[in-house]
Amino acid sequence: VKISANVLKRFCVGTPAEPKALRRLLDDLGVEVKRLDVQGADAWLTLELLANRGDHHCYAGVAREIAARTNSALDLPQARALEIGAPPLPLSIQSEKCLLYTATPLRVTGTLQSSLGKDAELLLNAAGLLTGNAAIDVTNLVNLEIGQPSHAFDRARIQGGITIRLSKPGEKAWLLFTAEPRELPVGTLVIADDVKVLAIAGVIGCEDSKIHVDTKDIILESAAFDPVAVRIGGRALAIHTDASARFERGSDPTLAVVAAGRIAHLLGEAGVAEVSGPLGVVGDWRDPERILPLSVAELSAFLGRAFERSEIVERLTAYGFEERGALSFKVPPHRLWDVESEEDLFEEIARSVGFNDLPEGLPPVALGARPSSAEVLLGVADEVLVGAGFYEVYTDGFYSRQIPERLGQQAGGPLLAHVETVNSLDNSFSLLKNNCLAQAVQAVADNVNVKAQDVRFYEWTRTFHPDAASPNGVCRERDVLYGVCSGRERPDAWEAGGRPADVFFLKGVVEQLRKSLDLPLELADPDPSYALTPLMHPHRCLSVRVNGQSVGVLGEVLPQVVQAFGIKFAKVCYFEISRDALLAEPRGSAAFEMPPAVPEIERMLSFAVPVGTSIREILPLLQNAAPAWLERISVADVFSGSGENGKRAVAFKLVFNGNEARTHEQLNDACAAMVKSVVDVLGSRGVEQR
Amino acid sequence: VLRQLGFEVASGPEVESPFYNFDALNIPPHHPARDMQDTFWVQGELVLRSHTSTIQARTLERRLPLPLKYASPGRVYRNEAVDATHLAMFHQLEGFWVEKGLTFAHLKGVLSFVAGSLYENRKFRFKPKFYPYTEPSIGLDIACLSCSGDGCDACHQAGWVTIIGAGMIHPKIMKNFGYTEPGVRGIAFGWGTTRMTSQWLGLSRAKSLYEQDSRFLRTLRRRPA
Repeated sequence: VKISANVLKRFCVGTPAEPKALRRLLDDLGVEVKRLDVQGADAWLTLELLANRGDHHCYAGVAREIAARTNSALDLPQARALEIGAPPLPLSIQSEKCLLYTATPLRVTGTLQSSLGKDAELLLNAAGLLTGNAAIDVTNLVNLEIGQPSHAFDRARIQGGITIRLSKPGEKAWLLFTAEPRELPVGTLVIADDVKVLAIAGVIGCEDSKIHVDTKDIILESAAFDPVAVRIGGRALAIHTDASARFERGSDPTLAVVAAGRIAHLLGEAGVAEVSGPLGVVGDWRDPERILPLSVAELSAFLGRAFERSEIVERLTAYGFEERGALSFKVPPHRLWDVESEEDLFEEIARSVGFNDLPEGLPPVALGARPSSAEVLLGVADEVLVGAGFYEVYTDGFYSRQIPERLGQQAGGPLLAHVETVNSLDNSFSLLKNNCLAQAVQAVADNVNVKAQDVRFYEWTRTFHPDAASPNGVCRERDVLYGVCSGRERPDAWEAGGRPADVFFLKGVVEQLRKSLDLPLELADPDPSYALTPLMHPHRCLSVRVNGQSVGVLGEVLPQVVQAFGIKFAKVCYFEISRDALLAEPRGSAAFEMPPAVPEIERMLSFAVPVGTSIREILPLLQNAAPAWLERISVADVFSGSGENGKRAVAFKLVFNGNEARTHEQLNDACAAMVKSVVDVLGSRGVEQR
Repeated sequence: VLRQLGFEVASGPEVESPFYNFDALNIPPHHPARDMQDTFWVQGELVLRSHTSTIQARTLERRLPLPLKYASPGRVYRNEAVDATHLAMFHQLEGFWVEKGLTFAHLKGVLSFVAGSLYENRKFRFKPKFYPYTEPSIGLDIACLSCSGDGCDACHQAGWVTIIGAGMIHPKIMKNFGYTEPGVRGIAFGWGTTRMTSQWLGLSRAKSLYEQDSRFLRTLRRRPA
């Protein structure tokens, strides 16, 4: 809504003359000024109005706010008092969605192509509503002035009487400014004569009943409609007008007659038309005289300061409320749609005082809240990832239907089942994501395309999985942390930065997460049942598990998947871990361990291992035969070379803890027992100590 | 900041029942926020939550012992045409506090504490707003970060930028969830963390925060603009 400061001042003398002061006042009143344009001696204010304040959609409504705050007079425009009597044509309401309908006959006495005056033209022009036809302009002008939409019909084009009813199946209407009639949604509230639809109630008129230059007689409609019915009608037709904006927010039952009088006054004053008969009314909607009680004690407690009865009465009266004894107030008719309870009265008084001028103070707070374990762990995980050079990113919760194809999903593929949006404006939002890999690889592709090859991203996000057994009957949601990398591991390092950010790099990151979060995460052989495993390189993939259960995956993304996203040369590595697994309660390991006074002791054991025998068969045998003071065991070297009879040489590094001093004999005995355990079991297959 | 006041974090589903997204929050049928254009509907007559206030409804429903003090950050969805400043998915944070004896003055006090903590030395002001789920509703503006309140292109000459929407939890909501004891009231407030982050960084395109452009991310600093 765009209004003139000068015109506003005509409605209320208390309107500040200085534009910035006016803006500050309106903002403080809840009539937000989005734009201020000073043009010569006037200032134009573009207002953003609150959705519950239909009464603000006109000069009178805004002026009423200023008058109440500044304790100054409200000067409403003159309106002729019209005689109410027999309607000019049969009127009938057939739907309860029409609350009140008035029809006033007007006879054209001058030229319809007339001006209503320079001020009116200025206002209409600023609102983009000036047509040059006085009978049309006057309805728009009065809506701007007092907030009551009205409509003028050419009497000669109305056949029979006027009925307000719901549209019938297949019924058409030729809406204003359109080329041809269109079918209406069934149940649209319409104004109709005996043959055709004359208008969509509260929204827009029709071409075949509109005013023309040669119109001689006019039927002026001024009515009130159910806000929801107007909204449904306008939305169904995708039409939004000033009239519908006003009606959707609830109109004033007293204004229908007042607006007709104001229009008659203006047309008569301009010498364009005169009232030719009484105003006819159908519908019995009147001011219901809603009375709300107010408790001084409740108000004072609610707003945090003491109020006297006299102050309450003075403030509410200024907004049009009438005290009806015992501190009960009648709601003014222009506020019927949004003042329904005592708290609404509290708000009126708060606005009257000014939100900035009311007291404020923190409630008593006994203690702050400690971060939860999950919040602490989340911070630790962030630190690990940022420390490893990852940037946190955010991706959408959905993607297009092409994504599953890029992941190479065939019929029956585990990643084909999606929860779908049913009304998205954009195809990119068709499917709720059931995996994070696609967006992760896409992010790498987007960066590679702009020659930013070194990529390390992570995200805490959520995936959606169809599940009829879930509480909502549609899907379950899974919180997950994923990370993706490509290019170099340390692109910003002074040296040795050229090492690729590969699957071993990611493995190190996940192991660091495990250690920092003190979680029982294990990296194990790939789990073929995990949905993303088939999309990873079969020999560069690990399963992330807790207590044997898969909670994530880590690996190099299959080249064909990477290529499907347009990446030609780069390798992409990816990990994901269930958030629940990551933020589970830590194992409770000690915060630190004192290093032993004696250094750890290392020994090497080497075996000749024939082809067909796995290192994984040897390791458990060594571990089972080791004394409790063996700290760890690892493969130190594998040499295939020329080989002894085709055998490999496999060296194991044994590390014994230094918690206490060990003798050579103890060490030798331990190693001998471990060797014996291997040879006893695998010696028959050619395994021997070297 | 909120933890200092005793707030704990709460979370909830993103695929949500219309009851928790609308009805429970006093957003009746045919309210503009329920328009198909604004809300993503998903199969099964569910919606993608359009605000984090759903957590308020879900928490109130549990009838936990008072006081309730929760903050719920998270992703929210709007079915809008995407451009530099409008996103189909972005982040919000909502806080709410239910306790006997809370007043409008306390609401202002909490908002001042939050704004003062996040925007040190910035002027701020309150103004009336309308949200279906609060009564009265209130907005908190801070002086524009670019012009300090004088008016500039960044703030469309307004001098002020709204950062927090808030209010006293609507009595209908309190009543619907059984909080009928005299004097028990709730305050609720929320802000778009995406928008706030954009303002902090001086970004004109909030969309940049969602584009995974490593060239852009490398230039980010935590220092506010």
